Amino acid sequence: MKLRVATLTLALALISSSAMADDVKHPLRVGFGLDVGAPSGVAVAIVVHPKVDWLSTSAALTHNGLAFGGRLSVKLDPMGIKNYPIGLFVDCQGGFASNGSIPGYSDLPSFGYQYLNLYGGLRLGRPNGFHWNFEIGPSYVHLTSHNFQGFLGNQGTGVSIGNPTMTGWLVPTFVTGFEIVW
Amino acid sequence: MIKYLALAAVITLSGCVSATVHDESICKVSKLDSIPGSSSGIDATISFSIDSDLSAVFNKLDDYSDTLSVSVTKLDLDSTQDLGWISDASILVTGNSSYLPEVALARLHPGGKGKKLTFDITLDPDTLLKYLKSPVVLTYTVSGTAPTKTANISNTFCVSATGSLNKSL
Repeated sequence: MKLRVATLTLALALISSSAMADDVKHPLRVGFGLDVGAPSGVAVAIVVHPKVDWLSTSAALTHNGLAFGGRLSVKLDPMGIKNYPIGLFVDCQGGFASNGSIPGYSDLPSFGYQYLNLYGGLRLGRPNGFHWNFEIGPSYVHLTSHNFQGFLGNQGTGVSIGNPTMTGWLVPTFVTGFEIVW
Repeated sequence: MIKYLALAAVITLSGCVSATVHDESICKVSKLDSIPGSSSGIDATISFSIDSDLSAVFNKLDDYSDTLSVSVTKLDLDSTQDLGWISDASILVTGNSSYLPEVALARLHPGGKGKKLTFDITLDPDTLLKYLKSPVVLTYTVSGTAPTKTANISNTFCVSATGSLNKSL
């Protein structure tokens, strides 16, 4: 058993070092992506692979159904080293959604939020071409509300209530969508 | 394959929220009795009481929170006249049941002058929360040389509340 583990470890180390040696460097790959999920909503992104395909960054314009927002992402995809058609990756995303209220219900409180997503994901398709991503993980969210006092309507009693905030973890959240990188 | 898809669906559809909800200011402004003016300049002690009811707000917060804590952020006495004549003041709070007897809530912060006076809270936060979840009577007692002009007094009482929330989705 120990011999098998040692042999497997040595094999993986040799493959990794060989892969790093074969890692194709390019000046820059640029593409775009489209995904949907929570808490970001629908996102349209510019995707950049700087130098290598196992590192990917993106900047996205998002809309959560109430308001626009933005999102930045840094993705590490070790299986992108050999341009495998399938891969597992980690993705760290930070974003925000502007203050928004439900259309037609401006008397209800509105809210906006900032978030940090820590995702693990599955890539189907080569990193330097079309591929589909499935990502899931926890999100740390800070939510702010507005017009809470107007919604409660307590002005006549002399009681006023400030706009509450909420900060904490939401588990799990997800994103799924495609990217095309040339 | 179907087993793994079902597991993925269960993981995605189930979930939890662990968060802290905070409201910086839950306030009530109350008009108090006027303090009549006097030309005699004698020392006087004046007491007046007012009903204050924030119980609906704090009971609702307590219902939705796993733990709730409060902190007084403002307890001021405002007037149309200078309040520098007040040498001492205190506030007592009484709940609407025998379990909430009259206790000291606050004392005048030293060195106050002008048209606004600030109070220091003497009641601990846990006991304060018990009173806030019930309609209360605030009894103000002020001492000093009676003013020459009638002073209209109002009170601003603000509390911040923080609750923790742990829910499965």
